[in-house]
Amino acid sequence: MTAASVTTRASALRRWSWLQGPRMTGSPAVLPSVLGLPVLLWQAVFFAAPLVFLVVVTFWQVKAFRLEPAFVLDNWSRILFSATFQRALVHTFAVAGTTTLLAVALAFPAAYTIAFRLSPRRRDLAVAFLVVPVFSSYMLRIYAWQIVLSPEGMINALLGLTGIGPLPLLGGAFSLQIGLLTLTLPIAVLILVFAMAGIDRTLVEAAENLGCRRARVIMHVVAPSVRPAIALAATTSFLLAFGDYISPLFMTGSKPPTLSILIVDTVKSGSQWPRASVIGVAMLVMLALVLGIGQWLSSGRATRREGAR
Amino acid sequence: MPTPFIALDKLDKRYPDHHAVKSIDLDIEAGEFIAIMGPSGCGKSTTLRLIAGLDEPTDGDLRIGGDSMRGVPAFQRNTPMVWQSLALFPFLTVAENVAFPLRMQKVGAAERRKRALEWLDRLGLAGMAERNIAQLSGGQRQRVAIARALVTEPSVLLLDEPLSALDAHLRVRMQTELSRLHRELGITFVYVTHAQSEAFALADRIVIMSEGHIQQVGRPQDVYRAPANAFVAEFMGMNNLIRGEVRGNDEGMLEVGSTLGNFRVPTLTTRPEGSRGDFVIAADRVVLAADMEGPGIAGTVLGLEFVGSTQTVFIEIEGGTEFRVQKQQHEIEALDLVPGRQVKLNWDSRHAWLLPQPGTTH
Repeated sequence: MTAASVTTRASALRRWSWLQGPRMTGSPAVLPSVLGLPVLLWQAVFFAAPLVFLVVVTFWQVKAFRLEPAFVLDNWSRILFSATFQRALVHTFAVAGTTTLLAVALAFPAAYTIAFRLSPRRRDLAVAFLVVPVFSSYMLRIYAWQIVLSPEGMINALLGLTGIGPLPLLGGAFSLQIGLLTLTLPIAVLILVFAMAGIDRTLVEAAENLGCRRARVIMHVVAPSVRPAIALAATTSFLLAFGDYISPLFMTGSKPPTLSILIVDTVKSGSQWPRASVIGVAMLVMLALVLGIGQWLSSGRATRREGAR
Repeated sequence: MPTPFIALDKLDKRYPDHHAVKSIDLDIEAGEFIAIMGPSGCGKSTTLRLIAGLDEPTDGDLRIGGDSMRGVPAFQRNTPMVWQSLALFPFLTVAENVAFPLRMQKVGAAERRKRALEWLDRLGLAGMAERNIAQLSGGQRQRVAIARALVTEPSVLLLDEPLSALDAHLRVRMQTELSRLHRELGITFVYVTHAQSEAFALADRIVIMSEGHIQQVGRPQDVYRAPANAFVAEFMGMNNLIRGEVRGNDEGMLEVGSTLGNFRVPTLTTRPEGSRGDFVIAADRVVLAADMEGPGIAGTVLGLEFVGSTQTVFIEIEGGTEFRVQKQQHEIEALDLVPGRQVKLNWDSRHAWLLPQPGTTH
C-alpha cells in the first residue's frame, strides 16, 4: 500500500468522524431514526392522536346535542354501572369467545389436512381459495348468508321439499356464529397452514420412528410446533369477533346488542359521543388484555414447564 | 448358519420418478457395525429408511429378528434413527427429548425421567437436562439425539450421516464415542455415510452402493485392497485403474496388454486370451524413480496434494492417463518431485489387483 492511499484513508476517516461521534457517546445512530420517521409519523397521526382524543372525549359533556370540552367522570360512571353495558359486555365476551373456540377447533384439522395431506399443487389451490374471501367484501359475504339462511332462503326451500321447517336459521346465536366465522375462519386457517407448512418433516418422521403413531404425532409434534400460531389465530379471531359490527347487525338484528352495536346506539341516541367513547376505551382495554394473554400463552415456554412439574 | 438379525431380501424401492433401490440382498448379523457407503443418490439413505419403515418397499422383503417387516408401521419397529439434521424437538427440553420414546411407550413419568437422566449422564450431558435444545452446542445436540435413540434400549441403531454437520475435531471425538457405545451395548449399528474415513474407522463391514445396487460388501481392508469392480476401485479414491485385455496365462499370473504396455497381474483362475483383464494398483504401491532409463512407465508430475503424513502426487502418463501416487514427505524431497518433473512409475506385480470379471460373483 502506498503512502498516498494511507493518507486518503486517514482523511476519509476524519471527514466521516462527525457522523460517528454521536454514536460513540451512546445516542442512537442518526440514519436508522431518519428511516423510521415516516412510520413514527404514521403511528402518531393515525393511531396515537385518535386514541388520545378518544380518551379525552370520555371526559367531555354533551349539551343540547353539542359536544363541549369539560372534565366530568359522569360518562364513565353511567356506562360502567349500567346494566345494559354490563350485559352487552358479557354477551360480547361470550360471543367472541365462542367464535374463537369454534374458529381454532375448525381451523386446526382443516389446516392439518391442507398442510400435511394435500399434494403441493392442491395445497396452493386451497390457500388461494382461503385468500380470496379474506380480500373480498365482508358485507357481500354476509348478504350471501342472509340469502342462504333466511326463512325463504335456500336451506329452508330445500327443507320445505322434505316437509321439514321452515327453521328460524337467521336471527340467533347460530347465524351470528356463522357470520363471525365467515370473518375469522379463513384467517385462522391461513395462519395455521403457514405455520404447519413450516414444520420440519423430519420431526414428524422422528416421532414415528421413536414409537409415536400417526394420530398422536398431531398432539405430540404438530400442535406444540405451531403453539405460537394457535395463540395468534385465537387472538386474531377474538379481536375480529369482539369488535365486529356487521354480523351482529345483519345476522341477529342487533338483539341482544354487542358492544359495537351499543356504541352506535349510544351515538345515535342524543349524540352521546363521550359515552360511546367510554365503551370504545373499555373495549380497547379488554382487547389489550386478551392480546397480553395470547402473548403469554405463545411465548410462555419456561412458565409452562414450571407449571407442568 | 444362524439367521441374520436384519435380512434384506430382494428389497426394492421405486418412486414415481426414480428407482432408488434395485432388488438388493444383504444380511446383517446381530451386534455388527455395518456402514453403507456410496455417492449421493446411490440409495443408501433409502435403504436405511426402508429398514426404519419410513418408506415402504415396492418389492422384496425385509426381516428383523426373523420377522417380516412388510406392513409393520415405523412406530412399531423399535428401529430408532439418528438423523443428519438430528430432528430434535425444539419445543421440548433436553430431558423431555430423551424421554420422548419412553413417553410413547407409556412409561410412567418418574421412571422415564430417571432413565432419561441416566442416558444423559452416560453421554456426558449431566446437568443439561433442563436446557432448551437451542442452548446446546452442535456436539451436545448430537449426544442428545443419540441418547434419545438409545433410551428404549433397542437392538438396532440406525444412523444417517450423523456426523456430517460437525466440524472435523468433533467428528473424530464422536467417532470414538460411537465406537465405545457399540462395544458397550453390543447392539447392531447400521451407519450410512459418504465419508470413507468414518466408515473405515467404525465399521466391521462396509457396503458400497451405487445407482441402487450393492457393489461390494466386505471388511474395510477387503473393500480397499480387493475392490470387486471398477466402481468400487474408483470410489475408494486411492486406486489407479488400468484397463486391458488378457494376452496369456502363466502360473498364477495373467499377462495383460494395455495402452500403457504389458503387465503381469496375479490371479487365482485362468482367463481366456482376449477377455477383459482390468486391474488396479493402489496409490501407495507405486514406486517412483528419477532414472528415466530404468524400467516402468514414463510420466510427468502434474501437481501435489498435501494430505497429512503423506502427499498425493498426480502424474500424467503419455496418452492422457492420470496416476495417483501416495508418497511420504522425505521420498518426495529425495526425488525432488515438482510439477513438470519426469519420473518412471513401477510396481511389484504381486501388488496389482485383478478386477473380477463382470457377471461373476464376488
